[in-house]
Amino acid sequence: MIELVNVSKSYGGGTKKAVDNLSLTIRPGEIFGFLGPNGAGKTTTIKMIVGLLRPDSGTVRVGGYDVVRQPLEAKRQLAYVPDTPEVYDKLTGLEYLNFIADVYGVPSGERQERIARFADAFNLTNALLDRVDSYSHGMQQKLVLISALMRDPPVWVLDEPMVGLDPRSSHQLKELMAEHTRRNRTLFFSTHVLEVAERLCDRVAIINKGRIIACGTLDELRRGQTGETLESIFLELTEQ
Amino acid sequence: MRNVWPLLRVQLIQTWRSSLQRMTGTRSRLGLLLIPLILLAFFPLIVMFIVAYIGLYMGLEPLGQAHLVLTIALTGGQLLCLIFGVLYVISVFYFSQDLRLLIPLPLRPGEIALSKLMSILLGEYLTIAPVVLPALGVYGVLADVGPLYIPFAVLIYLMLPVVPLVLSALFSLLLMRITALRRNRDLFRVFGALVGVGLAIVIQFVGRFQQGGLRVEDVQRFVEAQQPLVQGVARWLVTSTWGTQALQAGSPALGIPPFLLFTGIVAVSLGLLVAGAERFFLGGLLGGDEVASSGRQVSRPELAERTGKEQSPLRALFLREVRLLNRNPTFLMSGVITPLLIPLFIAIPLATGGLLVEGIDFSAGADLPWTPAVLLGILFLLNSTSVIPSSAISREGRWFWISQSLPVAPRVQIHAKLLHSVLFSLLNLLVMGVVTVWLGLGTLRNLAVLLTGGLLVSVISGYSGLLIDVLKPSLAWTDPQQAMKGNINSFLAMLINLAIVAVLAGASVLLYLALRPFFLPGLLIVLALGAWFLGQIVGALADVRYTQYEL
Ligand SMILES: Nc1ncnc2c1ncn2[C@@H]1O[C@H](COP(=O)(O)OP(=O)(O)OP(=O)(O)O)[C@@H](O)[C@H]1O
Ligand SMILES: [Mg+2]
Repeated sequence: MIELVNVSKSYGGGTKKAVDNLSLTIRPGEIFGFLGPNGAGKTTTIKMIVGLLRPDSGTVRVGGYDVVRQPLEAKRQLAYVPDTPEVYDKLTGLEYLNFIADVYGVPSGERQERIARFADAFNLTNALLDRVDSYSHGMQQKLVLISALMRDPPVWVLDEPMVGLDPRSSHQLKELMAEHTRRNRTLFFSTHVLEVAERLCDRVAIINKGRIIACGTLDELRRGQTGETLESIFLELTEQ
Repeated sequence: MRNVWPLLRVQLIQTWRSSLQRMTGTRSRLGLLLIPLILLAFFPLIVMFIVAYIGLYMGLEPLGQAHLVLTIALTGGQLLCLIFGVLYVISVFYFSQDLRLLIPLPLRPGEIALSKLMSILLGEYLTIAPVVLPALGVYGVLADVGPLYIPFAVLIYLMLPVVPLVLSALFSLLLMRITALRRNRDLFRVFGALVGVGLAIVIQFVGRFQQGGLRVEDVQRFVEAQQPLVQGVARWLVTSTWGTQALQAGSPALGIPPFLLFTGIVAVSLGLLVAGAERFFLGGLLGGDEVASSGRQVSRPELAERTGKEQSPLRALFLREVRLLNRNPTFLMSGVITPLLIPLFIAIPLATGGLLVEGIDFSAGADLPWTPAVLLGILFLLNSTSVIPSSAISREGRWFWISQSLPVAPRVQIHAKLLHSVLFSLLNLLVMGVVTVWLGLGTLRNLAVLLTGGLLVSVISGYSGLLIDVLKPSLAWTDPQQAMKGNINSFLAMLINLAIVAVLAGASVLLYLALRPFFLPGLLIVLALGAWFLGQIVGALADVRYTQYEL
C-alpha cells in the first residue's frame, strides 16, 4: 500500500513546484498507472515514494511506514526500478544481484532459485557472469528488474519500466506484473504507453504540472469526457 | 588544430563549473566561506616557502649563486608536474566519460589530446603555485633584476608545467598503446603507471645523493653539497636552466635568447604531443570501453554455484567497496599511490646517501616514552594523505541512488567504508612497522603501541575523511578523477587531520605531565575515546545527510 498525503516538492529551493499538493492512495493488490506529459512530475513523485527525495511538505507512507521517519522499514517494503537504471559498472551482473540479496537478507536457497528463474525469463543468464559495463541499456534494465523481482517485496515502484525492453522481455514483464498483483501485492508504475496502461491497470492517475488532474478506473475517467480511449481522454485532459 | 579552443571551453565548463557550483551551490552558501579558509590554509605553507627561499638566497648570494633559488623552484615545480602528471594524464586522457562523445566527432586525436592537456594545465598552476611563486617573488624583490623580469616570470610560470606534462603524456600514450590489447588491461595500466612514477623518482635520486650527506647546519655547505643534485636535475629538465637564465639576466639582450629557447622547447614538446597523440592515442583508446564478455553459455548448476551464500549486509557492503575501488584504475591509482610513494621518498635518499642515519643511533631512544607516540604521529600524517576515506561517498557518483534505496542504515554503510579505508591504512602501518624495526626501535613495547595505537589512529583518520565527504560529497562527476584528485574534500580532510594531530599532540603533552608512568596506556585510551566519539558524530551525520542529497 502506498499513501501520499498533500505532498509538495520543488527543486533547488525554487518556487516552481515539480509536485504540488498531491494526494494519492494505492491499495494492496492494485496495479496503478501513473500518466502525464514530460516534465509533469512523475519521476519526482516516484523518487519521493522510494525515499530518494524528501518531500518539502506532506507525508508519504509505504506499507504503513512513514518514508521520512521510518525509512528502513519503508524501504524493506518496496522494490524500485528507476527510469535510467544505472548499476555499478565494475561489478558483474551476478555480483550485483548477490550484493542486493545480501543487503535485503534473501536466503541462499530462494536466491538461487529466483535468480535462475528470472534470468531465464529475461534471457540474461549468459550475461550474468560478465561485467555490467559490457551490458546494453536494456540488459542493465533487466538486471535491475531481476534484482527487484528476486526480493519479492509487497510493493513495486517502476518508473517507465517498458522503455528499452525488447518485445519478448516487455511481454514477460507484463506477465510478471499481473502475477505480482494476483498475490495481492501493490504495483505502481509510470508510463507513456497508454495501451499498456489501458490493458493492465486497475486504476490510473494523470498528472500535469505537478497536480493530479484525473484519477480513477478507466470507466470513471470516461465519464464526463467525450473520448472513449485512454489516449483521447489523455489528450483532452492535458490540452493547454 | 582550430577545434582545440571550443573543446577546451567545453572541458573547462564541465570541470570547473561543477566544482564551483558545488562550492557555492544554492543549497548552501557555506561553500563561499571555504574559499578564504583554503587560502588561509595555504598561507603557512607559502610563508614557509618564502622564508626558506629567503634563507637560501642569503646563503647563496655571497657565492654568486643566488640564481640557484630560481633553478630549484622551477625544477621543483616541474618535478611535481612530472610525478603526478602520469596519473592525471592517464585518467583524463583515457578514462574520462566525455571521450565517448568526443571520439565520434570529426576531431583529430591531436586536438583532443591538446585540449585535454590544457585543461590539466590549469590544475597544475594551482599545484605548483606554493612552490614556484614564492621563489619568483623573493628573487624579484631581493635581486637586481632587469626590466623584463615580471613579464618573463609570468610567461615562464604559465609555460612551466607544459614540458613535464608532455613527458608524462607521451609515457602514458605509449603505456596505453602497449597495454591496449591485453587481458587484465586495467591492472597492467595501474602498475605500469606506478612503475613510471617510481622510475621518475629513482632517476632523480640515484647517483645524486652520493655526493654527500645533507647537512642543514649552514646553507652554504648544503648548497655546495647539493649543487650536483640541483644542476643534475636542472640539466635533465633543461627548461629550468633556460628559465633561470632568462629571469636572472640583467638586460633584455641577455634574457631574450634563453627565453626564446624556453618557449621553443615548450612549442616543440607540444608538437611532440600532437604527433604522439596522432600515432598512439586512438590505438590505446581502442577497446577502452570494451570489456571482455565471455559470450559462453552459463549452465544452471554453474549459476547456482556462483550465486553466493547469504552473508551479512556489512560484509556485502565492504565487498562492494573493495571491488568498486580495485576495478577502477583511476581510483586504485590514487588510493595506493601514497602508501607506495612515501616509503620510496624516504627509502631512496636513505639507501643511497645515508642521509640521516650516519652518526645518529636511533636505537638509544627506543625506550623513551615519547618514541611510540611520535611514531603514531608520523603514521597519522601518512594516513591523512589518503584519499580513500575522503572520497568514499563521492566515488559512488551516479550510482548513489542504490545506496540511498538500500534498507541499511547509512550509519552501517559508513562503517563498511571505514573498514575499507582502514584496510588501506594497514599498508601505512606495515611501512611504519618496518621502518621502526629498521631504525632499531622495534622493542616489544613500541611495536605493541604502534599496532594498537596504529589501528586507532587509522580509524580516526578514516572517520575524519568520511566526515568531510559525508557533509559534501561530489556525486555529479563524469570523470573518475573528479571524485579523487579533483575533489576538494581530500584537501579539507588533510587539514582536519592536521588539526586533529595538533590537538592530540597537545593532549599527549598534558597526559605526559599528568600521569607519567601511565602515559602510553593513557594515550591509547584517549585515542580510543576519540575514535568512538568521532564515530558517533559521523554515524549520526550519515543518517541525516544520506537522505538529503538530491541527485
Ligand atoms: N534534478 C532536478 N533539478 C531541477 N529540476 C528538476 C530536476 N528533476 C526534475 N526537475 C523538474 O521537475 C519537473 C518534473 O520533472 P519529472 O522528472 O518529475 O517529470 P516526469 O513526469 O518524470 O517527466 P518524463 O515523462 O519526461 O520522465 C520538471 O519541470 C523538471 O524540469
Ligand atoms: Mg520521468
